[in-house]
Amino acid sequence: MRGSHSGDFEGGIASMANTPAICGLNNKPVSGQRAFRCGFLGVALCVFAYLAACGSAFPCPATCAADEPGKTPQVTVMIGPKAPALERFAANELSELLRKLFDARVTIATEAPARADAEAEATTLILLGSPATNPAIATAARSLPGGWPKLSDQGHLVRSVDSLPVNKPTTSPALAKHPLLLVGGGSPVATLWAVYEVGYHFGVRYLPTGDVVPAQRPAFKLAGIDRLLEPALRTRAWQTLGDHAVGAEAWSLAEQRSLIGQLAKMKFNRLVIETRAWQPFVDYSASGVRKQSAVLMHGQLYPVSGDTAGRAAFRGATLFENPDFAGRTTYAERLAAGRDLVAGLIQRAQELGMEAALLVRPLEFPREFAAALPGARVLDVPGQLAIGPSDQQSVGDAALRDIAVAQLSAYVQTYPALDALLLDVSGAETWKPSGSEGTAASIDFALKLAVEPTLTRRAGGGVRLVGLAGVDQAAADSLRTRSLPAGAVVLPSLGSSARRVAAASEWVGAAEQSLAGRSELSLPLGSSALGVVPQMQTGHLHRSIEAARKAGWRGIVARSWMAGDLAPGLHYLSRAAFDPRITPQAALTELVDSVSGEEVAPRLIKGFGLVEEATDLLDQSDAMFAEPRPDMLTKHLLARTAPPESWAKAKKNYASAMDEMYRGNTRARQGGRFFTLYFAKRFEFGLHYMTSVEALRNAGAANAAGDKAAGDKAGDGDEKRIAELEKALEALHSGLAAYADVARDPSDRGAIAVLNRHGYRVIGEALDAQ
Amino acid sequence: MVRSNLASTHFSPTGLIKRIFAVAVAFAVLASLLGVELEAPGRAEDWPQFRGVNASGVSTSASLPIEFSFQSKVKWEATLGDGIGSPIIAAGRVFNTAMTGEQRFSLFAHDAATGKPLWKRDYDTGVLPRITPPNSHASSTPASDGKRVFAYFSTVGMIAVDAATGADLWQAKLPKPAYLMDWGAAASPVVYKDTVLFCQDDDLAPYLVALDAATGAVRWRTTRNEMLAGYSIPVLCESNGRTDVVVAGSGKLKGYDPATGAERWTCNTMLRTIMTSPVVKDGVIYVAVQSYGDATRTLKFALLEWLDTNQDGILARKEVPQEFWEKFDTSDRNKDGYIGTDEIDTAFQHPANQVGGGSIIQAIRGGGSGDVTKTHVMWTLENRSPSNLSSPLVSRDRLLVVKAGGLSSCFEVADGKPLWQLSRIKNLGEYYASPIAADGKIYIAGRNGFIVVLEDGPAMKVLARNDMGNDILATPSIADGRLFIRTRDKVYCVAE
Repeated sequence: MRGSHSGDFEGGIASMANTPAICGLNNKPVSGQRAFRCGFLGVALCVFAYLAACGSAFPCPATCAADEPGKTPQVTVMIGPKAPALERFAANELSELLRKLFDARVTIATEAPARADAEAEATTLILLGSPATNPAIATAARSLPGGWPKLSDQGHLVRSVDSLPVNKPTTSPALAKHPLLLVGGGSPVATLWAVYEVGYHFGVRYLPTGDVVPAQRPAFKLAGIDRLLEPALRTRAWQTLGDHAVGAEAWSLAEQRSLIGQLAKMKFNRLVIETRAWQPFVDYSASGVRKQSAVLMHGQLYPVSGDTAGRAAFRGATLFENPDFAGRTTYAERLAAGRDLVAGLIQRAQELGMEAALLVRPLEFPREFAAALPGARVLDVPGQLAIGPSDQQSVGDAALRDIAVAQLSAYVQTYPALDALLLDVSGAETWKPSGSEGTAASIDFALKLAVEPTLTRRAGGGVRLVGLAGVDQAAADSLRTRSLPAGAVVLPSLGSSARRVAAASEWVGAAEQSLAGRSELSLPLGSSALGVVPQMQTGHLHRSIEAARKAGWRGIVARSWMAGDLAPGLHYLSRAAFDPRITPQAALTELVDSVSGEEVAPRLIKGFGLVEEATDLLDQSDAMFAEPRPDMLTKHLLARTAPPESWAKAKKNYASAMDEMYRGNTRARQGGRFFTLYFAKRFEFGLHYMTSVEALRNAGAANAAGDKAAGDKAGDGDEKRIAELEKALEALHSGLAAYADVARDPSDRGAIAVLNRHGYRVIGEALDAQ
Repeated sequence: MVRSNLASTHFSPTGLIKRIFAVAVAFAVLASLLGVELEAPGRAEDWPQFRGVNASGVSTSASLPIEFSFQSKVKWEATLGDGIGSPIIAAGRVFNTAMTGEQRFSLFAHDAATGKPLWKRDYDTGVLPRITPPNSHASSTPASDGKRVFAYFSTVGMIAVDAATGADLWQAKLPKPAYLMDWGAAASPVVYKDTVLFCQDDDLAPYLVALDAATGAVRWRTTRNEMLAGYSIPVLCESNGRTDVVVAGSGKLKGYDPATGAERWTCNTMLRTIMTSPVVKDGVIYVAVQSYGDATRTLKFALLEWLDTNQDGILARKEVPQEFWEKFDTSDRNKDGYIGTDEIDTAFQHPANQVGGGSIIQAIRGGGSGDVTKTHVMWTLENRSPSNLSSPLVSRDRLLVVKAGGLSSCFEVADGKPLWQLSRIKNLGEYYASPIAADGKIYIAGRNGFIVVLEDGPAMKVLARNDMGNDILATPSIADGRLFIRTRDKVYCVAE
């Protein structure tokens, strides 16, 4: 143990009062003055050393000068002189990666370095592209044993070549002297994926929120790499936009562009933009009615005030909204903003080599079109914003057709760059004209629409119909033998959670090729039942993926409201789509080891497992447990029964999972703690949320007990109810405050905004009314 | 009482000197008995350190506003940068600290009345240690004697600058603190006469030091080896004819001689983790502390819960922060690379101070000698009232505490009789800041950015709830009829 004398302290005390004014340095920071003195001395020593070196048997200055540049890796990325735009972009991405990882000095060129000096010879050459796009690759391939491998249009490789055989007549002298790295694919976008695979090889991890570079810079070693990947699932789609404040509706184009960029790094190759009838993305009229609806978030407002729990998440904003729509109040203004958003999403997807598709419900119309459809049904959406056909309209109903065609044509004409259109018939199963069953009528209707000339005829060619979404298992089976437009696919809707979809794995795995071969699995990454509450279902994703791969399904269309929780699931999907052997645990370990450092993964695996269990428990107990709706919390107060036992277990799991995250956080490296801390706070929020709903249930039960025991001592039920309401309010406040500490994207802020509007304020008002 | 023959008519130089001396001594004794600080660190209206004069949290300011907000009654505001240290006010200037860059710490001076920026000093911090949110690296509150400002930063040490110009006076390197749980530094200096007192209770090498205010030279340093990490600041207690420097720490409240650092007394009633600071009034020290768990919850449980990351029930060397490896090796008696169940009890917690958790409010008479545990505790309350973060306020013979959820409790200082307990002040959330009082009002700042104003009386009465627009972790300050409120990134001056 240290002694108690002042000598223990460093003697770094400088009294500026006595500092001589030689250099006029009075009143300057102590550190600057010291730096000046040290710097001068340092330079003097260096000069002396240089002179000594030059006058001795040590290497001469010319070699000394060459040693410095040699320490910085020199790389030339060679692309074809007529390389397509995406490969040029890939080259830029690769350069940026190499600079970030190795501080490399990178040149992008179409020819090998011509200089024959030592520096040029030390340059590493990376040949990027394919034999079809890069003559250098074609040349190099001729000298390689086995040549260039056969790759599908999605296949890609990263392969080191120590050096080309110099005595082979096919070896280009320009290439012969360099170590080479081949980075390419069967198409320009596959080449881009190969670049991201280089990053992955060196420990870069691609999260929805951005890239994480390893804390320990890897050695610049491009030798010995041999990765060749072909997809096990050819379609890897991400569904965005939708219609909830907690989802992508609140994301600006800039924020979406960033996320899409990350999805591209995870090798997603299709963006599905889900739109709803009342949103401001198209304008049209039909049957004498003009569209007037142009709302987001179901037209709800989410003000942020001093009394907003977790308001720190909003950074001073007084309204939670999509910033691209701020101040846009008229229909025309909102329509313009909406068009810019969707067009921007399409452009962003395509510039990254992704297909851009729109997902539209052909039997859902803004409510103002009720005038054109006699007996139209009001659909079950918040705010009663949409209508659908009634049984009075048959599949061939002219007015129905006109409105549907007008709507779809509007999309096709407004977004001419669109690649594909998905027709979603989910929610239309209640339309049973002429006694039809299930979704038969809606499927028939959609298939008729698919061959409408107005959809297929446009400048530059018709949009490709991707297929039908939202069909249940029986309907999907029936489509096996139906004729669909060329290239169309089927997206069966098997459930609103990964668990429910996995429950159908047997059916998925047993699907005949006639169905599987043109089907894509619609895959929620979490559970819509859990809505804003922490959720993970990677184990179920694994089951579904395995079944889909086994039966030869074309791919997956993944979706989630919350990008944050699902980072591990998304990461797993992106790796499993190319590596059939990878397990969720292995994928998570690969992710966490790089992001947070070693020995963190076991804690996170354990914690995430507890959350998966909690997700299952809640998903099973209530299909709309925490779906973001106006009654999401008050329904518990009105339930008037004690909470189910499974909730106590789920709550305990959230608490234990939180502890595991904090343990992981203790061991996480400095730059990787954001990852563990996010989940720690999210799970803390989950714990408080469960406390709150339990208390609401208890308050409701006290209410019921009080009603039953009216003859008992007055006030007992009231006291209990008030105490439970206070507990509920306090727990929700604490949970939202914890969540706000780590809220980083609009979905996080949306969850906080929604819970304030439909939870915190409502409970507060209920308490004030006591 | 010293008698002096003031009535003598025989004048001689010796006699005059004796008379003058006698009067001076009498005055000093009288002042001491009345508890008057003979060398106040600044003007009476100053707020020269954390929680004001002697960290009491009480100001003599008048005409303070009841209702205000970040948009109302704001005399001036200034954007600083991230920080949770409190503003201090001395000689008409207000001083704040903030992080203004990734590795840059700044010390600001503004005119207290107008907010006019006077000067700003920047310091390169170098690589920063790990801390746990919501702590900030700029967490320490400076102190001032009116002529100089003293600011602490974990990687820089103690800085002294001229209060008027910001010119460097001296810097004293201090050992970088280390925390088993990565909480991060948050201790603050205080000024007593011509010394700067600073207590750094970390988990590695806790100590109390006195630096010469003019030169930064170490006057004395006293190790506090029995302590664990804590954040209590030194307070001064005048009792029994002398002044003691009192520090609350893990398990023990101690009094030291301010001239030498020698320990004068110890009261072994504290709990394991002490984050609140005591308050002194009329020679009595009041503490309100809460530490996780019950009396059996010694440090080893926390180590096994949070540092034993593979949860195998023993601590491996690599599970412990590197700064603690030497201590680890010493504790690893059988040298197997692990601290096992028979080694962990005393591995990082002193064997003579194996204290656990709980919740207490206590009044301890100052001026003792030796172990005063059984002799100087006037009263103790064990209830759920105290906060682990927010220090108690003693004002008008009442002791007030506030904790998470906005639950306040108030007791009479004479005997601890409760006036109200765990009553809601209608502002939920966490409370890091400590309550302060002036002008018949008590100001309580919640983390959610609201400042609740209570009437400073025997019954809980909420006068207002004021929105400052952003998180508040720093205790606000009062001087010259103004409130100075530090939100996470700004300082506001609020007045009528």
